[in-house]
Amino acid sequence: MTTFTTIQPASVAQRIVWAKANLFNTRGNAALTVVSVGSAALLLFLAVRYVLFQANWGLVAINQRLFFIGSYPQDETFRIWIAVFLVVGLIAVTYGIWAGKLRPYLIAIGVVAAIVLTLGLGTEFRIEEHEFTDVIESAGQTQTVTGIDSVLVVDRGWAPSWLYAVSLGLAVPFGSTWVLMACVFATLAGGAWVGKQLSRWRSNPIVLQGIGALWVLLIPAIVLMQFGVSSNSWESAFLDVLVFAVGVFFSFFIGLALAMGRISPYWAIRVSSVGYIEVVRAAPLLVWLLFATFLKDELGPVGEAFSSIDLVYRVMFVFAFFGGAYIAEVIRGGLQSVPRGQREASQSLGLSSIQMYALIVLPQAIRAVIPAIIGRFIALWKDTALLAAISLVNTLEKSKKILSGQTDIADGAFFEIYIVVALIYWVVSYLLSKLGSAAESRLGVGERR
Amino acid sequence: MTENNGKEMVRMENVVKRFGTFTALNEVSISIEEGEVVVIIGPSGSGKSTLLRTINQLERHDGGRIIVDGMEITDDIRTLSKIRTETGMVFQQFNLFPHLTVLRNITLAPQKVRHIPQREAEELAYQLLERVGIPEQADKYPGQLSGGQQQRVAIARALAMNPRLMMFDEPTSALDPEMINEVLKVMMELAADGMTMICVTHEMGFARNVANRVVFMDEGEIVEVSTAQEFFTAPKEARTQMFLDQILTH
Repeated sequence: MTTFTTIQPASVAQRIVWAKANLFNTRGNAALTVVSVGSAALLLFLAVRYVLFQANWGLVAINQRLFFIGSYPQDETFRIWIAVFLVVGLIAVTYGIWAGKLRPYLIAIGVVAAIVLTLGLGTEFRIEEHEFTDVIESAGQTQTVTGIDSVLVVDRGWAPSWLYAVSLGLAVPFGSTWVLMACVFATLAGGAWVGKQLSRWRSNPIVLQGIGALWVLLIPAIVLMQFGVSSNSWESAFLDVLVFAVGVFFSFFIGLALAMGRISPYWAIRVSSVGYIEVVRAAPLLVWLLFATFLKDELGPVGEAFSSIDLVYRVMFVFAFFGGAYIAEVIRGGLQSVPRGQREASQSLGLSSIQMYALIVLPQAIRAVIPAIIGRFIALWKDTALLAAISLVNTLEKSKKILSGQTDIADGAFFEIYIVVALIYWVVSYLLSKLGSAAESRLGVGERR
Repeated sequence: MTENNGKEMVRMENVVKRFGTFTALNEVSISIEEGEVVVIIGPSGSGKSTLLRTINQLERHDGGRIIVDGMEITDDIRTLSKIRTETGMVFQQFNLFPHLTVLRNITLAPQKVRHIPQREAEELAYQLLERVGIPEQADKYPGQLSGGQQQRVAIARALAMNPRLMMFDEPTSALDPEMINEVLKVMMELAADGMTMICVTHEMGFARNVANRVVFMDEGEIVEVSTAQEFFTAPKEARTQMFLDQILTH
């Protein structure tokens, strides 16, 4: 049985004692504490003041659609919604089966749902035009200029402006999107509940293998569902997620194959695996992306065939093979961490090489390097920002386009736009790292020694 | 003690094993019969473990012949796999699979290699855990058990393949002193049941009481083979005498 150590919460008096001993024990230390706490507080105050009272979230609010799916055809958005529901449902069920407590999860979903679903109610946008008169001084001459200034005004419904600002303008006004978003949150909550009911069978290999199979099938399913919509209209966050998902999916298997290739008994496989890894890792991703973009007939028929594929698929190809080279090295480290005795025990029991790796060595090796693998995945996710450099319209590029197309109403609100871009990158990175630590603690069961 | 019925289980003829320039086994020949318990002793680096490990080919031998249960070891992978399923091995460091439960450690090979259905394999596993005295530990992970318990699971795991030969490579050397006896007891019961056993061990009591024959190795060679009785009371070789003096004086 597991033994739990309970940590008694410290009383206020104890905390004061601790602070005196650790933060104010010398004059220098006390000064350092005051300065660092003070500057952190100041920074926090300025940030909160900006977000709640100074920023203009109107431009974000009217461009939500562009942020998430860009110019994806309106009639086809059901494809994206199906994908969203598949992902969200699977996340929720998986969480319910393997996570411990439902309550903090449900509270978090409730808070986000309340913000997104209620703060946007009654929101309307209009563009007001004011006449203005400016006096401009240049080269010693004064000039009076008159004109019309367009300003985006957001009617915020019931929410006071600061509360509305909490959502950074991402609250959803009432309409079909609102209904679908409500369903997304319901799925997140309901799926976790279903998972909780299933959790009593979680040690059953059928449940484990079933959920695993669904996860593996998820990404190909989502990509297949996009056939029928020209890849030219894959844009914004949707494009980033798609390239990332395909990249992650294939890079894992490519990495696995390369790692196994490195320890192959066949010389030719070993050498080509090492050669591949060293060559691919030696150049930055951006360079490979540029190669993929501009390759024409330089490699003869191979180049021609490659360049005839849609750019987005070529990019996915690069992400998968580039990521694979890194994953291979990570898994190799894991393979080296499995003691030799594990292989010997497998062999002495008569397991074949394939059984030995599939059942004994790889599960332990991959478990040991989950944090590093997740780290690579997070890096790969943020690398999707590079798509902007090869004329694909990712979130970053879209935000620039939004700004350049709407300068008249943007009213200098470019910083707000980039905050939302950062937020989109952050949310996915954060979920990935959460997924990593959950996988670690769930899969680490046997590691206690 | 069991009567030998004369069938040969392991035959080694002039077996040579080198690690680089170091000769670990130098023209070693020995024959072990079914039902025999053979204990191999000798100073460290004498080639005891290597001898065991060539029998199931965890180490490939560089010369000579090895025949296990009538099958000669060649490059043929099928023969090798057959030999490995018929020989169980217990390691000094247990080498249990840390990511699998005790039960799964035991049922894995019977299911995957012998294709025994899960239910049958689990029944067998519970029987074996009963036999090694820890039926209540089936659902734990190896890391949650004591060293002695882990080694008994390792024995159960090897027995689950229903081997015709069991090999023990210093099974008690990594154990705390109070746990040695629980493992030796299981080994003695196994010997009493008539299992063919080859044990590399420093447990002289076990050698004296359980072994049919004792093999003394030094510098990659078999120096002396004799019955346990003769070995401890009247060793023939000077090197054996010297080794016994060293280990039995304190």
